[in-house]
Amino acid sequence: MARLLKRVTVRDFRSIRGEIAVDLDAPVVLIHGQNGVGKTSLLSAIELGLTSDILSLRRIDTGIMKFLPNRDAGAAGGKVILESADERFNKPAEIFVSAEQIRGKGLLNEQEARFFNERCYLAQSTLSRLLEIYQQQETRQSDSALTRFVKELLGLYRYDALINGLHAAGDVRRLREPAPHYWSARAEIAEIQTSTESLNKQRSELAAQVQVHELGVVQQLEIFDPSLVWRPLDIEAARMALNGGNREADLSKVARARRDATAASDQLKNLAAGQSGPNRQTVEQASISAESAFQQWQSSTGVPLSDAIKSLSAFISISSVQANPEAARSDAVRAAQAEIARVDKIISDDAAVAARVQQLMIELAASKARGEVLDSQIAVLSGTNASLVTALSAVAAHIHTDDCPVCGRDYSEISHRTLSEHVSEKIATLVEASGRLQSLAGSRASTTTSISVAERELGSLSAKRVPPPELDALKKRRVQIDELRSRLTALAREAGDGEKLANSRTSMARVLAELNARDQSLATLLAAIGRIATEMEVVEDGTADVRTRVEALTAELTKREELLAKQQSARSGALTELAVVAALRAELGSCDEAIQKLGERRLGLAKAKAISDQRLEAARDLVAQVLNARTAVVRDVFNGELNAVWRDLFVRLAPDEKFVPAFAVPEPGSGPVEAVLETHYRSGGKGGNPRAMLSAGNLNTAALTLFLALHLSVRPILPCLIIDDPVQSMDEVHIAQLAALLRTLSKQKERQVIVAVHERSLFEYLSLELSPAYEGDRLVTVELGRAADGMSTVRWDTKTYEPDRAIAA
Amino acid sequence: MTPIEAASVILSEAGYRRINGPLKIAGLPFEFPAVFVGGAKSADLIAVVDTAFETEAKIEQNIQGFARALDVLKSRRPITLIVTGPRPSAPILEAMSNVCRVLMADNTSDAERLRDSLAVLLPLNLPNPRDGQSDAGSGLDQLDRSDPFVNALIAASISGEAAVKKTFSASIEEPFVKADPAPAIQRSTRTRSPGRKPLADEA
Repeated sequence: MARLLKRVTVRDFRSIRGEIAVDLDAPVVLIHGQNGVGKTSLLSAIELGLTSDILSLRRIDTGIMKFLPNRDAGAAGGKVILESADERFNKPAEIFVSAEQIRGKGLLNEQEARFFNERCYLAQSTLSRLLEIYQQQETRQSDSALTRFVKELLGLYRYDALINGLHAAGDVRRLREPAPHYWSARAEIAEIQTSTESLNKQRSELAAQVQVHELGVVQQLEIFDPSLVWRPLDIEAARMALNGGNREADLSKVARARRDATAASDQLKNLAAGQSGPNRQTVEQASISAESAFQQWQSSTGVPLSDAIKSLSAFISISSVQANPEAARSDAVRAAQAEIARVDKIISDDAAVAARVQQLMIELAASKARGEVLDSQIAVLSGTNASLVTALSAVAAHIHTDDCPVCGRDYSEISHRTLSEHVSEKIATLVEASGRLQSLAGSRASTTTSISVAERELGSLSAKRVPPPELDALKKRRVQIDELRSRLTALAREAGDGEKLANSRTSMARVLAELNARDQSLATLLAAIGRIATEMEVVEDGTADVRTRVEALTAELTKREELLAKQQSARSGALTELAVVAALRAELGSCDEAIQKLGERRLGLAKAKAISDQRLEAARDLVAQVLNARTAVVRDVFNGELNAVWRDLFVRLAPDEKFVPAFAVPEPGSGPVEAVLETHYRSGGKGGNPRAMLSAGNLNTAALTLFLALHLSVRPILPCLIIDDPVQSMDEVHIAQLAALLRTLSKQKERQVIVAVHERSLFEYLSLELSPAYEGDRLVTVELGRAADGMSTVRWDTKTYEPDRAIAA
Repeated sequence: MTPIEAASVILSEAGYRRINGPLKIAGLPFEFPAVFVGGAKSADLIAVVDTAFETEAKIEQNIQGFARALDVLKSRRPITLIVTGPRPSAPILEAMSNVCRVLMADNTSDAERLRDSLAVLLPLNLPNPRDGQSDAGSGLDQLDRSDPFVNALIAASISGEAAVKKTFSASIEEPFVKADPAPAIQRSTRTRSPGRKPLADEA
């Protein structure tokens, strides 16, 4: 098997500055260098050249890629060239790294790269990851580091995806969220069952009610019109028949006729009650005799009375001619008395006027005499003038001396008095005469007025005087009327007799009239009864008397009315019942519809559910199968073989450890299989968790040997092991054993082994231990360093086999 | 059988060759009860001693001299000292470890324990190696996939648990979802989410 790695050239990559080239073309390559000179960088470069990725670093820091170029390298970036001795890879891988990207293709394909990462390259980070497995306290936790590791290793994630993904299939209750339709359908089917049952119950109740009410309709129809009763009940036909059969008009007609008939009957009863009075013949005779008695009175005793009234009416009009003699007499007397009073008043009034005229004549004469006296006095005083007084008064104001202001003449020449005195005296005289004249004029005027008043009254009184012939006639008339009045007054007894007779006659005539009216009513009644009978088409017994006829008619009409009323009530009852039946039938129909709908819905749901149930069943089966398959896989891997290899490797490195680590071998039929770590006593029997049972150094050893066991337990796609400083926290015994193991892997198992160590003595020791042991065997030792200017330096040496001179093999 | 002989049997079986007689290096004789050299591809030099017969001091002295003699001759053979019998004191053991690999085989009555003690010298016997790419998936492929629903579930497992859940619930729901009568399984193959691997029946 050709060696995978031949030569690597690294430039400005991570902590390697400048360019170094390392020959790797040997079964064993030992790399030494102080910490920080680039051991891990060199191994990373190999990883990059193989896989064009640095998974070992990316596991720790996903952002590591931009730090791949050496930070002092500048813009050119880093470069890795990896050459393989394997013929498959005839072209070296050239990978360029910049902060932005990795350019170039690694030697390995995806599958090989994965193998390399998982089983060939034990980076320090991977080692610590393996250690995590032991540090996990709860190894049974499904997501423990170990379980993750194992699942990744075995591709169990697909099984788990199925098992966990179908978890809900295990129990219907888990389907509530992932399959809400399914979940609700389950409940709905049960609900539909319940609803259907209650609907069916409701339906049968409705059907019973329909029957009851249909029976009701039939009963009412039998009353209304038996011919309408048919089965099955046709609601529409029945309704039409009932709507067309309204007999309200008939009923009211009959009722009216019946009422008329009843009224007639009542009238008849009343008439019958009135028949108890005097019979017709008696009344007629009494009437005739009363009439003749009265007429006899009129022609005999009543003649003076009528004559007197007649005479009186020649003088005065008598308002009405009274049939009653006494009333006529009284009226005439009253009229006569009134006329006498009227005439008396006229006569007395005329006498009073005559007296007054006499008195006025005397007063008039006196007044005229006084007037004449006054006139003569006024004539005396007529020289006085009021205006002269005014003028003199005005002039008086201008008289200051005795010189006359008017004529200028000196007054003292003619009188010893002063002019002023003289004028004042004149004025006073004039004023006195004026007052007297005014008073006389007033008296004269009042005298004239009283004369004219008396003359006017005299004139009017003269017109009121009754002329004497008339007065005489009045007096004569009074006497004649008074005589007649006396005659009439004396006829009071006769008039009383006449009145009695007249009254008797009148009452008899009234009784007769009443009789006539009753006969008339009866005739009308009979006609009415006949009309009703004809109108209502009642056949009457013509021979029966009126009362029987009326009663028969009333009875017939009452019977008819009752029948009609009953039919009407039956009709309305039937209509009501029909409405109820129709409503119930409609309800029944919707009930049927609902039941059918529910049935369909249920059928649909049940169908769907059956499909889903089938799928659920299939999913459960699948889970069971996958569980089995998964168990088989886990069992297949974690069989004794892996444990055997691991044990072998672990025992080699830690021969004194009493415990060996192991995966628990799954027991058949013990449920889900997990990769569980345990320890075994070397002498047999189980120990505890490795973390508890093993020392730190032996844990490291256990992790390291697990990695090697995983590498060794499968077909070596890549016969190569790269181990970065595996000896940290290993004691010397372990180191010695590791050296032997690495030698075994290299020499016996023909793995190309590349180991980096930082400890000088260990490097020397391993160089010795891994020395070429046979012809063709080689060992490359690489020493990394750094020059003063920071550039990386490399010194590598290939040791070839030299036959041992001490002991010949 | 003495412990030395028991160890010798195991070593012989493992292909080591016993050197008979006293061992002379550069003319100097070294007395070890048994000395082995490695076979075809091994340069190992193995001395077997028993502290029951020799003092630990003498053994230590002996092995120190042996190592020095080999160094003088620039021999690169790695030395392994197999100590049977009582365990030497710590300083002696440390001094021995400085010049060679020391394997303690102090309980040689148990053949298995003895073999374990010598294991690092013995060839590594590996079981028939399985294919590195686990056949985990093939177990699934062997399942009956004739039911399209089951087939869809198995196919979805590639995309992980969520995809399986989604396919499962969609298939359970599908008969009830009347609005879209297309079966969930077919629908999922038509509307493939980007980045999802194609299902087996599509490949």
